[in-house]
Amino acid sequence: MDELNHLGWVVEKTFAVAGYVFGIRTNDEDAGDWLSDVLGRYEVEDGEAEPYFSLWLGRDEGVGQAYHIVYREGTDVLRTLDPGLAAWRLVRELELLALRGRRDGVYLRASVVERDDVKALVPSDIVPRLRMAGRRVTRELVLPFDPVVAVDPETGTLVAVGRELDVPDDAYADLARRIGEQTAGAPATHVPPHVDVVCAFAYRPDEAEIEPVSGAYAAYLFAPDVLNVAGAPAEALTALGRLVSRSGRLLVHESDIRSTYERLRAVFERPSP
Amino acid sequence: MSATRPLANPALVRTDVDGEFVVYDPRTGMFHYLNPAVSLVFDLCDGTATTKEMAAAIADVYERQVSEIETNVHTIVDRLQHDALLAPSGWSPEDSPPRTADDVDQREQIRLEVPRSS
Repeated sequence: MDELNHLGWVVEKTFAVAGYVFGIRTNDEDAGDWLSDVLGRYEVEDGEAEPYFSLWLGRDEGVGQAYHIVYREGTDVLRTLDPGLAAWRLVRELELLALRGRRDGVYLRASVVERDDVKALVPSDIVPRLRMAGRRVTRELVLPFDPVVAVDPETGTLVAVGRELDVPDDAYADLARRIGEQTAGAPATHVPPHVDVVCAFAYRPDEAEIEPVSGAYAAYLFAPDVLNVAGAPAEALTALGRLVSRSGRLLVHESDIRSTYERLRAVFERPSP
Repeated sequence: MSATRPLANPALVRTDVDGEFVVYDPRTGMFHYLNPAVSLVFDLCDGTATTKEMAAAIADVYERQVSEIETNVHTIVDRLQHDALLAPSGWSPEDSPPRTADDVDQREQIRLEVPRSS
């Protein structure tokens, strides 16, 4: 987080969601007002929590559009030209906190990436890194914006996660309007029930690029991404076991961004992932 | 040192995926992957068998000499003990109850709430 401190934040507010108390900061006064108006019921008056999330709005400075960026700690989880999408993702990040306390299902910080009808489940934190590999990434892969899926412990099937926070439907368009920009609104959060392959990542740049792994090892690699494992550990492990048992399992060894992208792309070109 | 009659730590949560275990330790929030050989031994750690008896059971199934198996079983049990996947010798349910799931959540909460130095 420290590396972001120089960026020029003008508003910092404290919020509490599901017992978690955290700060959100932004570089834009209008966005600061928007935070209070849209998330007011979660705001802690006179709170002074350290910023955990940051919303950077890139205003047009005459040299073309600038990216709007959502940060979780020091990690940019989304860069987009659509301010409404940035607002949606910020709210979604807050909803992940609420999911940690849920006991009615298994919630996994993962996303489904698609190419030519082949579907791969990947840890959602890899998605913003993939986007940095260049424009062709979004031409060649369907990359989701939603960072979470639910897994049915009974069947191992994937289910889209609904909204958790009480936020008006027009909240995202509202932010865009406040800063004079357009938005496509909230993204679709459709999740296919099954994927062809679950694809874990590990930083081992000198090892084989892609490695088949056992179901248990794949479940082990995805397990830390279960948001509510502490509250539903047996359900979480069962769900992961069933999820990986009905799909291919691969481990992609991460390297630099471009190589990592090429390795994931190769996953979709395997005869039977 | 191996427990006399090794017992899988009752605080652990496990799942079996095709003969391999994934184990979650709610006391630490850590996950463990056990390969097939380790899973086989771990599954036998029910507090009723010595390592020699476990080795004999495995040797019987795989038609091997007990002496060939026993050293490996000892090594695996020692590793399981080292990783706190076995209950300590003489452990009883009244001893040092495992932390609750809410305690693990609490650590994450504290990480969010405690201001870090800038």
